[in-house]
Amino acid sequence: MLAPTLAIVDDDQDFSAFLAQIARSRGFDTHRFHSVADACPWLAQHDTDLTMLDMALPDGTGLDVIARMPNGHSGQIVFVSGTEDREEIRRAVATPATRFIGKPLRPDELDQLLRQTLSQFELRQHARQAQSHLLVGHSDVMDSVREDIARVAPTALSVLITGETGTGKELAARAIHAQSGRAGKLVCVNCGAIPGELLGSQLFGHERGAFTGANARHLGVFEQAQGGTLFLDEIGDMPASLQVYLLRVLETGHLVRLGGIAEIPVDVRIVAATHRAGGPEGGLRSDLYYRLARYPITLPPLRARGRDIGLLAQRFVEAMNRETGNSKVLASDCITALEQYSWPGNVRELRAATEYAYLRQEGREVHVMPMQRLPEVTDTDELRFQVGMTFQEVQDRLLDRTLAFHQGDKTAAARSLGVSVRTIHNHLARRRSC
Amino acid sequence: MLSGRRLHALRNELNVLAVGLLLLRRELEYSDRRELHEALDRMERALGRCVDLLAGSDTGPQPAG
Repeated sequence: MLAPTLAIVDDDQDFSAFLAQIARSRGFDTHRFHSVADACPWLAQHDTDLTMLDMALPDGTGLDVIARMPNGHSGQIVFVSGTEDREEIRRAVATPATRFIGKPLRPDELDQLLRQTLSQFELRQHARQAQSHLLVGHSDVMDSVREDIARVAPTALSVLITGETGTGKELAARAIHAQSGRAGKLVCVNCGAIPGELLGSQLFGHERGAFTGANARHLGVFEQAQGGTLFLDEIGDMPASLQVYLLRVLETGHLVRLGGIAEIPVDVRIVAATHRAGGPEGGLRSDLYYRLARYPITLPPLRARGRDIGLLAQRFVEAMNRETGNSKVLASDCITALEQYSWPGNVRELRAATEYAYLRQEGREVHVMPMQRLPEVTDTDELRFQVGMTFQEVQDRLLDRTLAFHQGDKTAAARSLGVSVRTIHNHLARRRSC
Repeated sequence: MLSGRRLHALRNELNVLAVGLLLLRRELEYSDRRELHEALDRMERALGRCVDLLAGSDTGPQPAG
């Protein structure tokens, strides 16, 4: 699936048509239905990212549609209705429908709903792609990583993952959670991305009035991951004072929210990661290090994965083929050069180089050239344009750069450029035909 | 006073106008025709007033949906 799917079930054809147009311009794949009988067979066969349901339909109600949807339906369902019947509204929000929005729709409400759905879709796509790429490769080092994951996942042991940036530490954490059998969810936190003064509240939560601006009780990620797994990335960046408290929570299995007094039991499996050298010297207190590294896993750098490099590049080409509808292949004569390159950015760099070559090159074969990728922009997000360049050249460079930034994701690039996905496709098609 | 059924119909029609205006707003996002943007602003404000009036009106018995 290349675009998020929106199903509109509403007998108002004008509203449905406008809504579908707006959603398509945001990159959605839209499907319109005007009755219960019209919608149910399709919804029984297809999963959607968002279903917008009217309450009053010619042959029943939106509640009838929901009742006939498969149990495993995972997308969001939103009632959009002009009803003020409180009993109907109560029944709507008592079903798996997560929201009820009254007509007339407010522009900001619709905008927020579409944005939220797009963002969730992208996260799921990213996780799905990332998961599949992790499993690629037959090198001994990756076999060893897979064995480690399979061995430790079903246990309750804490895991410390080390490896260079771009080697897939979060993917390994996801694989551990997926194979753990734990019923709760996986919650990921990058300790280096949250200011130290906020991190404590993010991790352990706070009570109302704990500090200025704490207007309501907040559950930290520990409580959100109850029964599941908490992935703490860049654990070495966590302030020392919080490391002490984290150790105490891990040892006792209880936490106290900031500003609170109650001890709350937590059942959370910890997977931590750092790109720093393994061992207590990597920014971690030694007592916490030994508590977290009950089972250490080191991810190999890409340069140590030999023939996996070609396999991964081919996998990235196949992913681009699915996205663009082309049938390109990785040029076999570039594989040796790829295997000899040092790949300081690891798999992330290989992916970017492959997608860049894919988009830039005509013809069926994709020649990935790591040393020549984005020579003028590798260290900056800026683009340089000179007087004398044609408007077309400016557009081409801006589009290439934006696509590379979003790792070939046309929906994200379109949003970033403020144009429709169709415009991006048209632009690329025009260039291919030149 | 409008009946519940008429109010419901009015909500549906205003809904079409609201989403239609949103679509036009998006289509004109990159247009520099100021008079069109001003016209859209006025229409959106008028629609907002209609919605406010509707929200403040009495409702009779409600139809389904």
